[in-house]
Amino acid sequence: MNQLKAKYAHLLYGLCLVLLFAVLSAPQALAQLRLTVQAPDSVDMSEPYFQIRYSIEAQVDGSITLPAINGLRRLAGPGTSFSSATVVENGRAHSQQSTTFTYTFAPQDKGIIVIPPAKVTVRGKTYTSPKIRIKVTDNGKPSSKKGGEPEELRETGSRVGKDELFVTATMGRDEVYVQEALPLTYTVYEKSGVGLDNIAPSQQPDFKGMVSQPIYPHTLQWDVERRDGTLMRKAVICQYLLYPQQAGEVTLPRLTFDCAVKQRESFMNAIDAYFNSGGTLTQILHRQANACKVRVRPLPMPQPAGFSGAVGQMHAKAYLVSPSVRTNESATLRINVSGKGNLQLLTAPKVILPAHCDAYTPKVTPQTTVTEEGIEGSVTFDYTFVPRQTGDTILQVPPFVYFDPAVGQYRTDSIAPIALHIEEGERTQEEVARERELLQSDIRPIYEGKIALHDVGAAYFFWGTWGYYLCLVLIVAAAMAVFFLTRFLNVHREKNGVPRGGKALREAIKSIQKAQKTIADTDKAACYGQLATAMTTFVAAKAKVPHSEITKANLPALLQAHGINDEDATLYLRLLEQCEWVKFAPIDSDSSPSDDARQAIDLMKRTDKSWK
Amino acid sequence: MKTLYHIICCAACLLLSVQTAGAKSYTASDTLQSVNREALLITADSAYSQGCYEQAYAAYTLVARDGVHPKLYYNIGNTCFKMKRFPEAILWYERSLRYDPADEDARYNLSVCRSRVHVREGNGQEMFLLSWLRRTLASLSVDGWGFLLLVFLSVSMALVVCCRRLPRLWMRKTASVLLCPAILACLLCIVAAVTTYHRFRHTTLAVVMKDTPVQSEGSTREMPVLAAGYTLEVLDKSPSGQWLIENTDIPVKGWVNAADLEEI
Repeated sequence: MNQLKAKYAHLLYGLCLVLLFAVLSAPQALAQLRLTVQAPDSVDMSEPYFQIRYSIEAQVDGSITLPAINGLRRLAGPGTSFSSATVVENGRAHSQQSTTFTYTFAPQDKGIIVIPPAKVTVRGKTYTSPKIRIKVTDNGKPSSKKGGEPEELRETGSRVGKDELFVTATMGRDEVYVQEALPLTYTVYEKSGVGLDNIAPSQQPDFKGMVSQPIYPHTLQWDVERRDGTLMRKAVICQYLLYPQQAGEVTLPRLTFDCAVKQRESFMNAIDAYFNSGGTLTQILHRQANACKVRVRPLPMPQPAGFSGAVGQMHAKAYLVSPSVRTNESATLRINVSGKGNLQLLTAPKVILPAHCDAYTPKVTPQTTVTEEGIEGSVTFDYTFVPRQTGDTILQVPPFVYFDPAVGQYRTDSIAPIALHIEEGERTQEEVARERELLQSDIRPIYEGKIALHDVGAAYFFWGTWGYYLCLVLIVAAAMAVFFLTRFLNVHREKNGVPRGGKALREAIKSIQKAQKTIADTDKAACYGQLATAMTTFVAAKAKVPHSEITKANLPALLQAHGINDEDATLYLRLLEQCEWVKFAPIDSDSSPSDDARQAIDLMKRTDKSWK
Repeated sequence: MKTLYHIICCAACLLLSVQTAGAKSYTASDTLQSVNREALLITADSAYSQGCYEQAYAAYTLVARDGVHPKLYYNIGNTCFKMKRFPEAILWYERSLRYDPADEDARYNLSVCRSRVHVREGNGQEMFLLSWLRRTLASLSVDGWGFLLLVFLSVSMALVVCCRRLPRLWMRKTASVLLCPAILACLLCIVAAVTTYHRFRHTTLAVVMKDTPVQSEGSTREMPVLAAGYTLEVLDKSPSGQWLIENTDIPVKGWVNAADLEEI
């Protein structure tokens, strides 16, 4: 019982502590809450709207209360947003909540606008925001851009008037010279709430009689402008640089734009709204830009010699790119024209190179940027040539003549002549001849046979594949098989008393010589026996018959059958018979073993050569 | 033992049947593809012969997406040449020669193409032995060297057998004398094949598609502009889109913009 009491007492103490902590901490937490306000310090009358945000770090009961404000027109609000986050830090969890109310206002009167305190209620307690002041000015310059902020869209079916959404075309100037850059800008204007989402030309513009150069890139950069007393948002859609090619009055075509306008669909259900950009529908409207006229003045006549149509402010210089010029090696003369004007329309100046030089078509490399002011940068003309003779010469580069529209006069940029010192090149005459031949020749025709394609990524070559290694192994294995097979056959034949024919003579001679050295003096009978055996074995090996089949009766016929003449065959038989005789009667014989052995070796050699 | 032999036989038969079935299905789909490819190639060939190079180029490159063949690349190179797109033609000829260095037509057309864009071939100062070695290596493809190795290995093996088994001494002596050059030829073939294959697999080459400045390694000094059409060896690639290149013929070494190059 006492134990139970003690247990419950512990629980009671714990509960009391928790309650005490909650009671003590909650008012402190609530006491820390503040209703803050975010608003611009000053707003200009040209701004179509601005926003005021009220925030509190808690969940609000109900909504915010804001008294009426004189001098501001409420466009939207309060928009409520609630956020909640749980942060675990060092194993401890913290919950953070925040409620924000957003009002959108439009300035009506200039002066100091006093925003009275707003009120919210959190867990029964009311919190008040501080009173703020906003200065409304009227100097025509917005304090900040509001292009990216959301706006209230119109209801579906609302008519968008041509004064609410329109496109203008404006030219940089009304009068230009031929080939002078003329900037053309297309700008879209929209009234607040129209909801222009996208705009693009219906078709590519065709500026007849002009060379056009679009200016990139162009994303819609929104700005605000007051037109006829109405605040309008505006953005540049596209810009072109036009270069008139003919003099006279030119009317630019009226370009039509497709405008995608978003409108709010209030009666859309949640699913349709999900698939239609949150309850909006897009409507395509067509707007045509105004017509523009420009007067194109002709270039003053007469045009100076060397003028190739360059109009602008430019400067030209020429230099040799190659550090040294050698015969039969290509060298490059570079003319660089830099400045502002119709750089991309320039043609390569005519440079007269020495007669012995092979000249190639000049390579044109523009490095320009297109701006609203015109094309700026430089254009490089590379003249590649191959001198064929050594010597010193002067390259006369023609002066660069251009028309400056700012002063309405032609200007000449003279280029200093370039001293050309041509050294002897290292290339041989054969190389030069080959190069010339290649220059004048055409390529060989295409391959029209069957093309068996290999799969991309698969092994293309047979080399290195398992199949290839198998081939290598097979070749080695086949050689080894032949080697061991022949060895086996020879051994088998020798076992059957059939010595190898190829070694027969050598072995026979070896056997005889051995007998001569060892037993000729001591054992004459054995020596002759060895000689007879060697001779018989030799014949058996050559004829590829067993030793036992060789007899005195068939020996001459066997030898004659293999192309041995009668004389040698008879001699062979006689020598054998003598060997037999000495073998069995060595004392009665007066024959010399060495003589007989030499005679037998000679005979066997003859037999080996004549053997067929 | 007999049971084991039966099991091995059955497994071998099963494996063989599976392989045959796989090969059949592959052949069926491959045939369908090859029919389309062949039709495209015929179209491209006829368009080329009629002078419609744009059409021929489109058809050839469409086929080249699916398959690899040096002669196809050669034909694309010819088409680019006719359209006066010389750097691109050089690129395709180089691709063709990468797979088949022994293609004389591609080599000749590459030379003609290079002469049109004033790209030098070789620096003319290379040692005779080196240039000969280079030419010899390039005279055959990897498979060509591999096939030659098989031939020389067969000859060597036959000579080894002959050295021991021929009946006459002079024959055996002759075989042993011939054996040395045969083995040497085998070794040379192995070296040539391995070198060519290594170059094919591990050497990255690129063609300059448009004139590009070269930044020397480790300095900001700008070097002369590298003309379109040059073939370079790519030594390194940086994440910032710059490639370290080298060409010993000009000679030049430095970093260039990767967008101006096209890998072979």
